[in-house]
Amino acid sequence: MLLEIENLRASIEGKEILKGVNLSVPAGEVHAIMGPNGSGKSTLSSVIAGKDGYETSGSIRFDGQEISDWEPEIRAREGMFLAFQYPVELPGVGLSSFLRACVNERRKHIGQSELDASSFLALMREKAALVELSQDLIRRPVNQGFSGGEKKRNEIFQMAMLDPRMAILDETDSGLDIDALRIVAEGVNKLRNPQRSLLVITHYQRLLEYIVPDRVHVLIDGAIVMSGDRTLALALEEKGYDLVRAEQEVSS
Amino acid sequence: MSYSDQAAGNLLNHKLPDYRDEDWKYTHYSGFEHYKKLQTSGNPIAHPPLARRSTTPFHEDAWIAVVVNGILQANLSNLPNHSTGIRVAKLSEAISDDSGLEPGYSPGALALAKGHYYSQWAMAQGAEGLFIRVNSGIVAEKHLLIHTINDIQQPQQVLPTHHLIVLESNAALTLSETQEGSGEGMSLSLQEIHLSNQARLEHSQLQLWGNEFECIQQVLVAQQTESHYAHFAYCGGGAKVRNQLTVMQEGQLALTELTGLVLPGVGKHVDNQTLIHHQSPHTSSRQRYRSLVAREGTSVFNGKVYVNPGAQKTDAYQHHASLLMHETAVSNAKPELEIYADDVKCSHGATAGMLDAGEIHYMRSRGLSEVQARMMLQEAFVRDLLDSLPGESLRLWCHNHCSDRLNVLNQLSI
Ligand SMILES: Nc1ncnc2c1ncn2[C@@H]1O[C@H](COP(=O)(O)OP(=O)(O)OP(=O)(O)O)[C@@H](O)[C@H]1O
Ligand SMILES: [Mg+2]
Repeated sequence: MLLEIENLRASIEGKEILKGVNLSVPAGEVHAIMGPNGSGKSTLSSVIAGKDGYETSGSIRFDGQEISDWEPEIRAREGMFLAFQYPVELPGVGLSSFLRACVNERRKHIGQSELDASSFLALMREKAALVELSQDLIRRPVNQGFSGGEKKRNEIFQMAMLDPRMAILDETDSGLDIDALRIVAEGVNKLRNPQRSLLVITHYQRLLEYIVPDRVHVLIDGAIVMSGDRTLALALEEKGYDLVRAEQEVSS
Repeated sequence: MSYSDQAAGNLLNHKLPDYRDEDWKYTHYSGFEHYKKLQTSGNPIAHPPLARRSTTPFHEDAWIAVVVNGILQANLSNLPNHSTGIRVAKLSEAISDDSGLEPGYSPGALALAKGHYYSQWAMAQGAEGLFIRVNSGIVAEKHLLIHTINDIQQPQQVLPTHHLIVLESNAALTLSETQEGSGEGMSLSLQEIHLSNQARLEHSQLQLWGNEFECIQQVLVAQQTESHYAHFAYCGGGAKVRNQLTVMQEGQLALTELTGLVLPGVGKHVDNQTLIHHQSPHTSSRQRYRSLVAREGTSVFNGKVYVNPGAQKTDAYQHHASLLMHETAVSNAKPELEIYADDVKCSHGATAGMLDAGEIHYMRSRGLSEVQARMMLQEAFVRDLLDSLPGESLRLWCHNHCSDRLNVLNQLSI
């Protein structure tokens, strides 16, 4: 199992958001998480990525190692990647110098040599082409003045650069236009491989037509209440979350 | 009566500034009386031993003046020769051979009237320094670097220097200074600068004081018609530093650009006061100061702009931004605008804050350590200022110094 989450609870400012999440993602699989607004999807991804400020309990194992106490940068260097729902602007910090530092930290951590300027540039060109990110954006400060869709595309570009083992995509589809959605999804698909797992958070079935998931989970009120294959996403699209709530009532 | 006698006379009417003086509210030197005694009781140091060479040579094809405790060290310097139309000499020499000191440019011409207590005191001591003159129409083909070294012989020694810089009409010079001193001493630096019609001076001052060293500096500039004065202040050290920069825009169309990057250390204090006096029509000034303040450090910025009644079409801009590296860091920024003309454009702005936690988290979640993330954001905050330094090697040197300093201050401030 590449990612194994057991009874994960998380509170912020005394408010419990995650109320015992259990989730396992084997290597090479794509899992989707769907759920109503405010159910805790972004909180779950933040906690997995190691954001400060939460009180947590339970366990998060990444490739067998308990990572709950790890700093976020260590998780990243080990190959955990989170594409933010709301990517952050870094005023004045150039995208390429930022990424070069990030890529080299990851490489050093896993015992690879740092990339020199020219091989880094070549890598950037290759990965930018993957998501059709324009060279103009690469020369700008990170996300500064980027449109909503450009920021999302930039997240996947960074994912491609960092070559993670596990990537969590938090609503990467929202904000992308129709063509961009296809381009970015195709880029993500090219990054799929038997060692790399994806956790795709989305509200819409459409993304899952491009990035076909092995499993679909439904997160409601801080817990995963239902899991199924890709047809679950179709059923949800049709019936809404009442589908899940009705079944919960029947079973209780 | 000599200018030093006049200054001594002026001192009788001045008292040592303290916290009750508005201008010295944040920065006062109550120990100065004690410093003074040490200085005046000891023998004046004519030729101090050169304890060490400056650590900051920029490898650039430049003229270099090495000044130790106010005294020009000709043997360590590489000065422009006579044929260049540029003269760099000891101030006392220039006074005694008085070849170029027209009355308007004599020592004290600005400082006797505008100098604060400490500047008067420096003149009263007959402080030694440099005389720099660029003849009319001469555009200096090389940078002039002044390496100033304050080499104290006893604790709490105060070392006064007095430079007089004259650019005649249509002359142009790029002048960069490094100012060094360490131990428990104090540098008291006075500079009088005259820019004649259409003269251009690009003046950078890099203050690299040690952690215990104090500094009081006053730079007085008089600008004539269409002259251009650009000043860059890099405050990268010192225990307690007070810089006063006063510019009199006497001639029309004078342009002044002041840029400052202030990095007070842990528990240290740096105070920059600027005054731009728009005395003539169509003058402009542009001030950009930024400070990055370490734990328990303090940055003070006070930017005064006076616009005389006749100085129509004045264009004055001032901005101060500070980035606090810790909750205990302090920044006091105050604009002071006094405008007596009605057809002017004056604007000012100030911001202060800490780095954004969301930005730092984003960077860490991509694999950077907290210190790396902070450094990158801080370097982005200062980069465009440093990029405006003249000369490739100076710029590079200063970028590196700034990065090294930020690295140390971050380690101490987290
Ligand atoms: N700092 C905070 N303080 C208090 N409540 C918070 C904080 N951060 C998140 N919450 C709350 O936690 C709940 C879950 O938020 P989260 O962002 O994880 O939802 P989500 O499932 O990602 O929603 P969406 O689909 O809208 O993105 C929400 O009710 C939100 O208001
Ligand atoms: Mg969310």
